[in-house]
Amino acid sequence: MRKIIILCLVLLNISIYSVNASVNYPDFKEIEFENDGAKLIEDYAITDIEKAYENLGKKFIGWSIYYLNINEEFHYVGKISFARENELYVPLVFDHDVEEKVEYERSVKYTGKLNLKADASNKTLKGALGGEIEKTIGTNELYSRTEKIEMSIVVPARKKLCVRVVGEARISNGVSRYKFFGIVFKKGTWEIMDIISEYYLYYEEDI
Amino acid sequence: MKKYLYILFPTLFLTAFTILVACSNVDNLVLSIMPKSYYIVEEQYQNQSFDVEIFSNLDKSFFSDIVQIEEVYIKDQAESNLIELELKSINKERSKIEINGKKHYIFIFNFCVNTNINSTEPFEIKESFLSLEYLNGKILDLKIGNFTYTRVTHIGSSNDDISVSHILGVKNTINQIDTLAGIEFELENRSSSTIRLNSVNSLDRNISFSLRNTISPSVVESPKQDVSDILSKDYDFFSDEQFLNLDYYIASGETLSFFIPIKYDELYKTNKLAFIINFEKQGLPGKIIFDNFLFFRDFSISLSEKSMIESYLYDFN
Repeated sequence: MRKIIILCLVLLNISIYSVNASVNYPDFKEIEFENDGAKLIEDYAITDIEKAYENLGKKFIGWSIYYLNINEEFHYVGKISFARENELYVPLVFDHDVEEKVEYERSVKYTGKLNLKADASNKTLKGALGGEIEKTIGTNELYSRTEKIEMSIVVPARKKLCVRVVGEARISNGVSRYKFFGIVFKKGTWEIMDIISEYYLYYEEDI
Repeated sequence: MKKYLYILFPTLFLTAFTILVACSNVDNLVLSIMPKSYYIVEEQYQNQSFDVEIFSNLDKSFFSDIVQIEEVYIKDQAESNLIELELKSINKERSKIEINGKKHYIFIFNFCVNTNINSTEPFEIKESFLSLEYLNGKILDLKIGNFTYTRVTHIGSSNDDISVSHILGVKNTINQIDTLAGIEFELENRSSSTIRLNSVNSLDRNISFSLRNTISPSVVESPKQDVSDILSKDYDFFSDEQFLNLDYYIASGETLSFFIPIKYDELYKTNKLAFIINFEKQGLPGKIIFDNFLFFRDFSISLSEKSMIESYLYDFN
């Protein structure tokens, strides 16, 4: 049912007028998790985050991690990747010739001094905290794709043609704390997002 | 003391020799490729290019050095069909892929057809090989899948009577490969007369539309929905079916939505497709030719998809 709602939103083009679904991911206009309980880190109340910190335990030295979500999949309605308006009263033919390099990026966000980053190849998370998290969520098996798009497109008279991205992604998030002899040195929230697939929805609208 | 030197020198010599041999041993070149369906649709000779993704165990070798490549062809095994290509660029992706437990570099070779194929019949090479001929005399033949070049009379509608107002590809996992499984369409009749929709045909000769299993209006809920779920019955992606004309009518100013599943002759991962929509207005035939549309893009290769990858070992030592 949720998928129907997302698709309807796209078809009715409501999303054009909607605000972004996420501050951290401005390209996502709508987000819908497969699992009802899953959330982006930004959508947790401060009290929920405080409770998560309480669950970190009493470790004396090293990193403590509490996972709020592990590899939770969600569907999203993304940005318009292409649009062309034809104000003429005759069809407009043009060649859409784009070498679109979709550089796959594992998105890593954090607060505090966690300094959580992926390595240069974007495959593994750096540092002791990154290594610990990867033991739970797994390493990045995704990779970049370059796709050259060469196609001729016809925009009918008085129409606007749009190609919108919809897709699937997965997210893991949680809170972490680093202690040395009981003293807290680093503390913060983190979130790792992987886009799994993108779909392209082609539609026309009246102008 | 001398006695010890007689033992020490040969031992040192043997050790040094072993280290030298080990260091000079160049890795064998392993190339891997996932066979796909490649095709080009052109209205006229436009020098349209296409990409071939090749995985290599070596970061740098003659294989990916563009200045060392003398000639490139696509051909069948018997070389009864052969076409020369122009290599436009070779790009290495930043990320790597793991094949058979080893990291491989991803190279994108961009080619265009070097010949003006001026024929109304599609030029098709089934089970084709990409043949890379190098200045050093080496020839690498890689099985890339099917290749088709199609010359069409026009792109878009033959007039402004009808337009494709919505398309969405549905992806399914077929025999463990994530590939295009069907397309949801919406057509708009922009003319003042009723239009009859006759058929939808693929321009990829490896793929056909199952017109018998067309449903209208479309009930697609998600681009990952199972085709059998959309059709509310089991669906076979491979069986042959007899040609059938569609019989849908679109009144003036109205739209028609429908979903058509596809059938594969041979299964290759497909994420792009060009197609022709045939219609009739006041008894006169017309057609919309829709160019190669990218329906989806995956950022991973599943384990089962990796099993489709064909690897070639070249021992040039």
